[in-house]
Amino acid sequence: MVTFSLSLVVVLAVGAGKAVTAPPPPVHITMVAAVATNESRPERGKVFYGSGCDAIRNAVAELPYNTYRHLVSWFHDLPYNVETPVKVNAQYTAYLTVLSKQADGRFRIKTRIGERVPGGREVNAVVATHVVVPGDQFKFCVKTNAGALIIVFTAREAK
Amino acid sequence: MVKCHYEEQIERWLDGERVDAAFCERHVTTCPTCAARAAQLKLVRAGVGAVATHEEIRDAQFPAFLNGIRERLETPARHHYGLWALSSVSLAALIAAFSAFLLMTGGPRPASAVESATTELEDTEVTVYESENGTPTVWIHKAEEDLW
Repeated sequence: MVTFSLSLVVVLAVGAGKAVTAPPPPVHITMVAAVATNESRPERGKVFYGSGCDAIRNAVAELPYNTYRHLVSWFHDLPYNVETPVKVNAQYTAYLTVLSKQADGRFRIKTRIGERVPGGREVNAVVATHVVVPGDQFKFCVKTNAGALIIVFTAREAK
Repeated sequence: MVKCHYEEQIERWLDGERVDAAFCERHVTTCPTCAARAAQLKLVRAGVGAVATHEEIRDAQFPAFLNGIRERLETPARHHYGLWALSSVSLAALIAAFSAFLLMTGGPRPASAVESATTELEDTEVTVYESENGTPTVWIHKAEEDLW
């Protein structure tokens, strides 16, 4: 009986230790990048979303453009506190770091968008930290000559 | 109207004050002014005395008189405790319901937001806003010559 009790205590202690040290589940991040422009269209007021842009319709609804052409899509389960690069195009690369999950359930996510400048050097076009409700989107818009580069991210619990 | 020097003394005599009563009695018989004043005052006092009646509670009325007192003593004063109690209970129920709602729903839903946003590019401005549908947005506005 004593042996059984001791074994039980050891098992519980090991279990408790595992519960404390178990890493949090990764966060599923998706990215959709698109180029937004204003083009002369016969149907005034109608917005054209190219193939692959359906997922960002809601996120870009307020932007003053009538054409969205898909550039790149990407998704990955990101562990905490590891910076992960995602190439957007030849000039821009996004770097994502999931910092933490807050008590209210929101993720704190650091996003760094590096821009390649003449000479091959990369400069941070923006470094931002978001608190994101799981399932919500957040976006970056970079003004370009022709319109804007739109990068939309979504974060949720990895399955 | 003819005034008499002793008129005031006559009034005090009629009021029962300590004055020379013998003189006053004699003077009233000889002075018509004071005689008239004395007669007037006696008339007024007689009238007042007739009007002033003292109410008495007769034996037959006494039980009803006591019952009236007893009723006033025994009837509890009207209070508005019921109204206050109802209001308090309603308010407590409202607070409890609101607290339960907050507990069950986890309070107001937290929103997604931008905590901070900076740039290292020169001649570049970063603006932050949340769109109408609540999407946190970071805009990077560069000088025209740097656009691609």
